[in-house]
Amino acid sequence: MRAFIVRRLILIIPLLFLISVISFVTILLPPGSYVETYVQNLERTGFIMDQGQIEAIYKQYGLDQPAVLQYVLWMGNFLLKGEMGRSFIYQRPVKDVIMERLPMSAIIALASLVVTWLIAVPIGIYSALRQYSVGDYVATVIGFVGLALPNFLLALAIGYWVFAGTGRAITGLFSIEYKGAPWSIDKFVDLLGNIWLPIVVIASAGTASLIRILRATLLDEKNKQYVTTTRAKGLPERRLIMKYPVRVAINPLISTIGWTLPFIVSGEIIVSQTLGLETLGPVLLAAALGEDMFLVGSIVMILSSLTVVGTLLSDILLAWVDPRIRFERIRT
Amino acid sequence: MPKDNTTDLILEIKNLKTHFILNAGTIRAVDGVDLTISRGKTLGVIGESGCGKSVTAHSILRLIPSPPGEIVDGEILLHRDGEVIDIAKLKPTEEAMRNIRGDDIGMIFQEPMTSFGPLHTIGDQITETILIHKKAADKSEAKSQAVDLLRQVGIPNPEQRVDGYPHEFSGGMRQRAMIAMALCCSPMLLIADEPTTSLDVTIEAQILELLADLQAQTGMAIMLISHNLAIVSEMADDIAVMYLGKRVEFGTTDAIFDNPLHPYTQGLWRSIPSVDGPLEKLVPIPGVVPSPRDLPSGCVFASRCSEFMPGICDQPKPVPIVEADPDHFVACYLYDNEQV
Ligand SMILES: Nc1ncnc2c1ncn2[C@@H]1O[C@H](COP(=O)(O)OP(=O)(O)OP(=O)(O)O)[C@@H](O)[C@H]1O
Ligand code: SF4
Ligand SMILES: [Mg+2]
Repeated sequence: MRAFIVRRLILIIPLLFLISVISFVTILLPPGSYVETYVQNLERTGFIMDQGQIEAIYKQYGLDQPAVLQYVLWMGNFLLKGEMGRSFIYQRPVKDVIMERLPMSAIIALASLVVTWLIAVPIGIYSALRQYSVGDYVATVIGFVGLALPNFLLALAIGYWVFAGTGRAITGLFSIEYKGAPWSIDKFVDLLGNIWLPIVVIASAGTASLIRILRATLLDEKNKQYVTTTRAKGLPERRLIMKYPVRVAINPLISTIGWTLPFIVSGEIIVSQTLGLETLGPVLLAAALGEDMFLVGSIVMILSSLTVVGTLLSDILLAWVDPRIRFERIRT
Repeated sequence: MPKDNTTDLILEIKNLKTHFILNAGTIRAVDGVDLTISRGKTLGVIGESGCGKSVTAHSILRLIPSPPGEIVDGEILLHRDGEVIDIAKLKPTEEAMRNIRGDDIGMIFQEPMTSFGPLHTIGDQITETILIHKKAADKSEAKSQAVDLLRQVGIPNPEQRVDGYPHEFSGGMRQRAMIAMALCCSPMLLIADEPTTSLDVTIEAQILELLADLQAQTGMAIMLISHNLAIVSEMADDIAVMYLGKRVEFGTTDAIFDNPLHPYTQGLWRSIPSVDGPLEKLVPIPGVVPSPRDLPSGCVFASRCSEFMPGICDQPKPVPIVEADPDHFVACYLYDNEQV
């Protein structure tokens, strides 16, 4: 098992390298350098820089160097000092902008994943055990509605209902009086009153596919020979179903974490934008529109890297819970 | 009954009918079967594929999926500690039924490769059975019993293998482990549904020898289902011959082999190389087994029988069962003195 984890950790390094290169390319990609954009933005506000100042900025960011060297400089600063350049829009280090908002993004993404599972697993089990029952159909329909409705629409609709029903407007993560206030119990309670909406909306998108996968696998598993064998031993039915076929059917779900993470992350971006949440999503969008490329490239890199790491963790988890996979992966 | 010694009986099946009720029609998989199994004896059940052997066996432990399967008639009488329990009247999920499974009656299946849950160790799955039926005080005692059982069925290094997962066992070893699991609560009856069909010949011989040894040690009865006549002739005391959901002949192994009465049994014998006599010319039984969905209304074998008697064999009623010789029963008009 340890060898397996070490090997996977080593394998992930080239992948992370590739992500950093692609993220850096997005920084270089837009027409005109970001210094030009920067200068244009300044000019628009009436501040004219002379050639010397512009060249000084080029030097400061190392932009007079070839692209490869620029990449080395950017990565070197990131790896050694955690620096990722400067945001032109926010006029602050990219690191500060990201670190301020990343935790909330991560919390929302993880909570959405957990909620997706909490909804999908019981429904999937129920649907498989009561195949073609009314409950099975209802679960299927609701699941597909969640899948088909665009996230932003659902967020707006629920937000509107809540507002119409209770007068509470869910915009942002905190009510106005708590924005910028230091953490307190009240502030946390206020956060809970708002944060459930993006979590539920993002989770709704993923539950349908999870329910389908679990239902299909469980339908298959519960008719397998080992279930009959175990029943023939005298095990009570509920314990039998939960201990054997359900556990087997959950495992494929673990391997879906890898490919659901990007959906959750992009869902988070859209929903956060819609609801005006103080997370990375709106920053990414604003940065992309304003061609604030260090910020865009850094966010892309961080989100992609976290997704890759999440996939790795789900792989390790799967190998840990499934002896067959452990056996197979450790041997090869 | 072959032996009229009721104190020795442990299982009596009377007129069992297990049907599958589907939209397309009713499959009468088992349609009026009588069987008796005595303490310490082996009953062999033979018949072509699809004749209802497995459905009979699964009915005994109430493992038939419902819907569509249902026991529509008959009795399955388990004689236990001086009382008689009609299994056919129990609900499959009720506690009384669960107490019989794995404790009074153990079962091993045809498919050793898929017979264990893949995510739990062999030891866990055996100890679980021991603990459900309260045959051990705690987990560690149950586990040491499991190790003993694995040793008894001939698994090398049982102390290590007990913590192994099913995929780490070969087919033959898995079937041995399966036997250990079926026997862990010392059942009085072991149902073995084609226990060696998917194994190669040497391993098959070892497993059968193991079953015979264990039977000699424990005194359990065995219901051995097989379509390998050689195996049955060697292992069984009594034999039931099934055809299309009916038990067409029943008697001691000697009687069935030396003096087969039913035309179907006689046909079976002609279709295989003789077990001990000279190799005779093999004659396959002509025709195919009709679908159990539209059974003929008279004798179910009529469409393939060389002795078919028009006006008698196709009467729209079940063929009477005749005790042609003492303890030798056959369902055929040839032996019904009132008809012939
Ligand atoms: N779950 C089910 N649903 C519908 N029909 C079934 C079901 N299980 C068994 N049957 C039918 O019952 C009949 C008897 O099947 P059974 O499995 O008892 O045959 P068998 O004698 O054990 O044959 P084999 O030697 O191939 O194991 C078959 O016609 C089969 O199609
Ligand atoms: S009853 Fe008639 S058809 Fe059936 S086996 Fe006997 S002789 Fe053949
Ligand atoms: Mg069978």
